[in-house]
Amino acid sequence: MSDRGMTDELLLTIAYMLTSALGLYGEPAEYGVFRLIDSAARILDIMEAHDVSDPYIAGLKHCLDDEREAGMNSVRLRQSLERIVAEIAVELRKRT
Amino acid sequence: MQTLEAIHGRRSIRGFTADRITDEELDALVEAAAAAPSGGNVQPWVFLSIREARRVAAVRSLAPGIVGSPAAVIVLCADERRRGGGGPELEEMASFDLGAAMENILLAAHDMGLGSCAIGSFDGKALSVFLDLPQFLKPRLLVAVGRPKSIPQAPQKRALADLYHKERYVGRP
Repeated sequence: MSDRGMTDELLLTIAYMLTSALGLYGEPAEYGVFRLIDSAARILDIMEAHDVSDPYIAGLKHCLDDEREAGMNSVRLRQSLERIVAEIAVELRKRT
Repeated sequence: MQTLEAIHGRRSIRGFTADRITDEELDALVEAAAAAPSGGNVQPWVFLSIREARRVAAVRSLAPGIVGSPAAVIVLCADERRRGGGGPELEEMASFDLGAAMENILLAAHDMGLGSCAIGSFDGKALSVFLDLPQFLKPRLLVAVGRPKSIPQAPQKRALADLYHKERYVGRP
């Protein structure tokens, strides 16, 4: 896919993030959690579409897809996020 | 499918497969919406279906409530021309009417084996600009539609005893 394609896809994600920021002035604060997870998942979608992923990132995308499709159970979501962030920290330690 | 079975079996679907849905399926959903009751039979609505992938992606970017990648989005607009000079009360009534139309879409989608999710989180002004809507059409609700990747479990509902009273309201202080 061309750089133009990636630019367009990133622009859509930027539009999503800014529209979310504006919307959150009038929405429950908890929605911000979902918007950030969705933003991360959208960026991972773009990475996957442009073959810049690796096995860890593919697994992370799968995890986030599961979370965003599962609905709004905040207790379960928080537990999942704690696990995912702890795993990312381990991965970052390996890579640096 | 029986009506009560559809009501109790429907789920909000946020994960969709990459399969497309047909024009005929979209048409059937909008026909179901248009069959909804409305105050004074005013039918204060216009429905817009978006199925072209690039346009669906753009609508997703302006509607943070859309999770996943639906095959189509239906935009439910209040048509202010049909208010007949009425004031805020009729505008509020139009919102109720659009809610009934939306529920018809959700139930029809479930009956047709499609997945759907009602969306209230979107930027109406930005969406109006993107869709080039005339001033008298106001987007009030969206429905994301596609083929479900999986069916989520039923969410926990409030106990009927907490919300249903017979003859007299017996509430806690």
